[in-house]
Amino acid sequence: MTDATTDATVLKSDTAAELPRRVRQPLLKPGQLRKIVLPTLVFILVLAGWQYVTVTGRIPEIILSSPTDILAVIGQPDGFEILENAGWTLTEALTGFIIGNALGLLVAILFIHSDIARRTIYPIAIGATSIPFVAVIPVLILWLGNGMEPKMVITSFLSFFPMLINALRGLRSADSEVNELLYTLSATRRQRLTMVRLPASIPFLFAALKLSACASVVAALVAEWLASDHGLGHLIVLYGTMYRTPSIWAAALVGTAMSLCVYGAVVLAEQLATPWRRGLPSTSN
Amino acid sequence: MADSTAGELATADTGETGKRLRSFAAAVLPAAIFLVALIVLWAVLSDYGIIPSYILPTPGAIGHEFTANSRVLIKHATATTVEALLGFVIGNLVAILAASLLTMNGWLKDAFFPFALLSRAIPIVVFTPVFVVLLGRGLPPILAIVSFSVYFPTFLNMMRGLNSVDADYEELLHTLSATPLQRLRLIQFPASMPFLFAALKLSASGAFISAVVTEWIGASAGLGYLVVDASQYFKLPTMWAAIFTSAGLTLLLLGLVTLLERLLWRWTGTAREV
Repeated sequence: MTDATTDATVLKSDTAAELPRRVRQPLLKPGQLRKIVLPTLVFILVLAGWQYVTVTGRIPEIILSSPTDILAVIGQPDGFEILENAGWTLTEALTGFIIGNALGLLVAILFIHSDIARRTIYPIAIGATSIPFVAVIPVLILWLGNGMEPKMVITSFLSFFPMLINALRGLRSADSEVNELLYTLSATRRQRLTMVRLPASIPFLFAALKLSACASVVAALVAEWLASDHGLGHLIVLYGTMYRTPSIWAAALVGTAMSLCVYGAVVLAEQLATPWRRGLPSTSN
Repeated sequence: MADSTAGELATADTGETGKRLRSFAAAVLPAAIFLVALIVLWAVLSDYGIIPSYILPTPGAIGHEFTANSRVLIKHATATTVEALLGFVIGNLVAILAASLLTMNGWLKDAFFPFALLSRAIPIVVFTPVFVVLLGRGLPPILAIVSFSVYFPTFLNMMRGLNSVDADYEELLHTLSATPLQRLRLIQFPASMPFLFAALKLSASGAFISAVVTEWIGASAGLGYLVVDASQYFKLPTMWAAIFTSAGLTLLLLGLVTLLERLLWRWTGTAREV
């Protein structure tokens, strides 16, 4: 009886699998065309309006430069200078980003076993994320000079706390049944860590990485405003004092592109590292 | 019989408050003790000269700065607070307005929402020099930057919140032939409150951070300016006092937003985060 019914369903599903002749979908659903055309139109209109008010001199060139002038910076010596200095800023940002996140994860792993340590550090870390840490940059510059070091310190600080918070949460997020299973198998602490806790924490870790990716590029750049003789931030201020407006815009845009790229790289790494989560909403912090 | 149950209830009640008190103490005490210990350590180390005062002044010296130099501190703190609060209000109001408009009109949403998604990733602070060239030094560029940085998280969260309405409610209002404005007022705004407050808490600290950073190059007043100015003249206690003041103000605004959220608990419900 039961066999017969299962056979029937199997048959049914087999035929069903064969049946669908792919119905040709129209390339765009009716509403979708609007979703592409409208934003493009808005974008073109804004750029055209911007170009118009600058070229006709309604807004003086020195205050607002035209989009074409900004684009033209690429071919000029300023463009090369901007790219060269962008590398400097990126180095600062990424070094701090890596150090801060590594330390955050390490501290979380150390503290995961001690309840009292965790309860001490967790509220402080939460509070620390809402304090304007960047206000300390001038102090760091006094301590460490105007080289790369103060920027690396501030970016690692900014990356450290989100990672610490998320790693503490992620490492404890493992299914308790899996933990119990490993306990019955008398797994060592290290085995529990590498086999259960770390894999379970991966989505949380990426949430932290995404938070601090853009922040570290911005913090490095902003720190360069104050004291530096290299880097995008230094260039932006320099161009500002010389009123080379198109170059200021170009440098700011390159900075934006750079922070987007770092963010994009983290998102890509997340997709590769957690294939089972593709398409799911990301773990919010 | 009745008495004994009442007594039991009473003890149960005190037990409940006691438990709550104990869990509160357990949550706060370790961190508080750690912080106090850290400050004591700092005071002792700098008293014995192990931390030289040109690197880190003593807590006492910084504390003295608050009383001795209070006029300067208050002047600059007021400037920063005005910038941060005005920007906070403007950015959030515009964000709520824009999100409402885009929710009510599908054409507007299709035309502008992709940019909103993109602009979340744009570090607006980086454009400070551009705004300074555009608007001159002082309040205008700072206000613009702070408002922008406040605007984006609130706008995105409001969009999510306004569209998080239960489908049943939507259908009910549809059968009652409610206007888009009525839908907004009656179901979409209430549904968006938890999302709004999650964004407000994020932008409360964001407002002060952007204000302080833009002051570095965009103004001649404010705590950010004071920190840089004091560092150039090597006035370390002033510098640290300004840093602590900006941290305190940030936490104050954050606390106020959290308090408001608690007071409006009926609408804000369980807050979801950005």
